[in-house]
Amino acid sequence: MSEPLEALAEYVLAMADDELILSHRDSEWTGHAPILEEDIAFTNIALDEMGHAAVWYTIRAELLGAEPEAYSDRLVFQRSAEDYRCTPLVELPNGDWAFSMLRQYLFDIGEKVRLEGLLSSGHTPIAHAAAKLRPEEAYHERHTRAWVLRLGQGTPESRGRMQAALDGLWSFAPGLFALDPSAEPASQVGLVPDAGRLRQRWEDEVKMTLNEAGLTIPEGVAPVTDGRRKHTEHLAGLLTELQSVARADPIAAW
Amino acid sequence: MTVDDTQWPRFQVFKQDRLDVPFENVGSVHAPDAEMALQNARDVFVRRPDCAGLWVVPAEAILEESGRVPTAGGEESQGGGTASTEAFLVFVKQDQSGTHIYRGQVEAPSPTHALILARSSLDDPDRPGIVWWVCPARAVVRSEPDEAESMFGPARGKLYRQPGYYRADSMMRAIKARRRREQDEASE
Repeated sequence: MSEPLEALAEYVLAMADDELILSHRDSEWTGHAPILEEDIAFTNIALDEMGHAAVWYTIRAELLGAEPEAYSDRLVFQRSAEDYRCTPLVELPNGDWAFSMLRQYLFDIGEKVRLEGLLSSGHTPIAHAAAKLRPEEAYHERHTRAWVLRLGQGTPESRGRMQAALDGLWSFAPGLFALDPSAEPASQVGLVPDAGRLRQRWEDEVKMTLNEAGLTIPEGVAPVTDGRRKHTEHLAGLLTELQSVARADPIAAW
Repeated sequence: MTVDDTQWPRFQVFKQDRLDVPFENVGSVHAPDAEMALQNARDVFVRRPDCAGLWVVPAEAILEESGRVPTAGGEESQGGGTASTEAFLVFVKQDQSGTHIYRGQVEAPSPTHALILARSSLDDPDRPGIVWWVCPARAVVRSEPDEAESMFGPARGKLYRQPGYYRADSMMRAIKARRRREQDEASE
């Protein structure tokens, strides 16, 4: 396989891992959200992100010539934390509802600008996948943005919680655009969009919403830029739970 | 709102399965406002495919009437023809196990008048309505046609939400069938 395509497979893995781990975090709200309707809505979003992860794992499998279903299962259920390529933002524990909504919103805008960029990817399956996933992301954005605005503009308590969430998340968010060195050649030949440009578009858009919500964007906070190989201590525990059933009976058929 | 009542307001939800069939009441959701009600309605009631549009209406904006025909009277009819009118949507339930289905619009000066007008002009003599709902058209929040793709499109690509997608289902049937056979053999 050529170097750019190998790099593309690494890029796709990072996207898939971000989606999978955030999906798992979101799914932890199932049965615990503030009201029934939100429980269903956020569970829906968690399922969507898991579906996106499956799409990207499948594309990676095809790039590597592996059988998609078995390969995806192996990646998800049999990999240890150090082989994951997710960014710390998605690993952080859920915190309160404001924290989870804001994280999902920051992620949604990141995914939106990335999918827009991938529409013109030189690798056709990726361009097709981006086109397919975009409408779903538009819905996520609509939902999470509405919550950011309502909590930000709501009561002193909701505003305080949203501000605390922003203070806690802001340094981690740019990590969404971090490229693993192994994925860089894909960017150089136009298979994937330039990360710096994506980050700028993301920042312009989320700042508008955060301002509209009446929140104060933290200043002088150094972004967490440890790349995609250094994980928080939270990932290992998350994977233990995520993988427990599959590891209990590795050859079971589902 | 009382101290005990911490629920958000309730909205009735009407769903249209295809563009050529009427909107139909599918249930209700709680939400802080109409925009969120529409989103909640999408998540609660459009998990399975087949949705072309959604309406949400604050439950308190709906006037319900069943049984005998009300008569125009009291304060609302005073002033007669000078009262300004507005559009009301009419929904009717035709049998006990059915739901409220959109029937049409009437122009009326008040909800009570709208009910009377609806029953006299929109009823089906062969299958008379048993419970009627009217609400001002301005109280209805509708999904936008240009948002249909993001609101309703994704459900179509999600077969994994259906139980039939999983082999566990067919495996369970096979296990049960085997048990039955074993029990039959044991009892012979």
